[in-house]
Amino acid sequence: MQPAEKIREFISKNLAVYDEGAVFGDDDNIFALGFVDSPFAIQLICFIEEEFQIKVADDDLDIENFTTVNRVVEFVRGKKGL
Amino acid sequence: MTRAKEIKCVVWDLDGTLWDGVLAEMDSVTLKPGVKEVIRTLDARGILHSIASRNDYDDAMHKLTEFGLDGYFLYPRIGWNAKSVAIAKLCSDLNIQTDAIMFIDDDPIERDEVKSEHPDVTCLDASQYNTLPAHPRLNPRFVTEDARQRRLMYLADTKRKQDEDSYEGPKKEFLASLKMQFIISQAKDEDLRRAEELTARTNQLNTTGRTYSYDDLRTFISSPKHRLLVCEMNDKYGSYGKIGLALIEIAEDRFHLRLFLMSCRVMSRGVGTVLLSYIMQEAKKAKKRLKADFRNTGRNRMMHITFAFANFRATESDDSGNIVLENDLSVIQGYPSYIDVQVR
Repeated sequence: MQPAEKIREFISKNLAVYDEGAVFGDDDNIFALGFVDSPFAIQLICFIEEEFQIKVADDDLDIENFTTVNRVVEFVRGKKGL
Repeated sequence: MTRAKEIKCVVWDLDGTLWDGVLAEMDSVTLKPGVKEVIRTLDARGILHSIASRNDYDDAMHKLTEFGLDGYFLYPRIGWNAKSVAIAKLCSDLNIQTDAIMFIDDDPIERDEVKSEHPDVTCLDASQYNTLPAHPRLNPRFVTEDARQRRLMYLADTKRKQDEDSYEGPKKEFLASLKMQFIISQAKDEDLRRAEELTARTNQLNTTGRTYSYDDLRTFISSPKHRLLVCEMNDKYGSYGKIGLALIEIAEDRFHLRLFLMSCRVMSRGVGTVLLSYIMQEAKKAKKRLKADFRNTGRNRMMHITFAFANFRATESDDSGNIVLENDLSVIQGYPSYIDVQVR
């Protein structure tokens, strides 16, 4: 599975989305998709760290890195130096 | 002023510790004199009890029921595993750190085994059991209503978790089925003991780790330059009690969030984000900027993540891990439909 697919799957599975059957694109803002609460945020950070073997540093904790699937993919690529 | 942390849970061995004798080897064992009172006394102070014992589970529980003590122990670990493993599992079940555990056992080998895995656990010989009520770390300065109810709240939570684990529908549907109510109010005099307790007991979901005394907090509620918010939560299983606190300093141009914390009891419910949203709305209404303090305590990364996902950005930092964040209030999430938020 490609990173984008993995991330999309994780988000759709773990976010309490407003509309269960919702299909969302890689550039759709996840905040518009459901309520982004702290347990979800924490799970997402842990998922990224474990799945892609990177460390999310304090300085990386900026919402801009996590608002869409593509942003997260870009962030992971940047971290891995790809 | 480094006061040793309060013990949150006492873990008991059974044979030779809670009772005289070895259950597997004899027909009758007898409780140590006065041990029941020790347990009740600590329970009434909001201190939890658990068990780490090498015994047959059913036999031991049967005996505890006979003694009228079965309801006092949360997550009893009775089996044949190492006690250090039992304690690690207990910490994760109760969501507390090993330094908040006291372990009491008559066998020095067991105490050493626990100590070698968890150096932070306070280990005591069984002969000391009568001294527990006087132990400084088992004497919280105040015993609040929340503390008295603590064990029952944990029991309700166990039921909640079982139901959650066995729920198979979508997450949102489960959350809606809980009928959560989240109540935000200005702290009143009668809330302050619990507020003080929250600042002392909450480590993980705490933005600065600062503790405030009853008197400090009392000053804030009468100060026009401060707002102290307290949050309460309940759902269909019962009350979680008072579980959140926020201290806002009101300056000329800004709200400054000095303290923001949530009890671990509601960690999985996302209500921290709800309270942040409320504070952001209030700042916007008052046409003020919103800043917040954060200090990395080594345990509170979750709060940093919570801030970040609520659109807070670091604007200043120093060498000792203190950060000031600011929120431009451009994006404020509404409340989720599955939580009934009330402001009183």
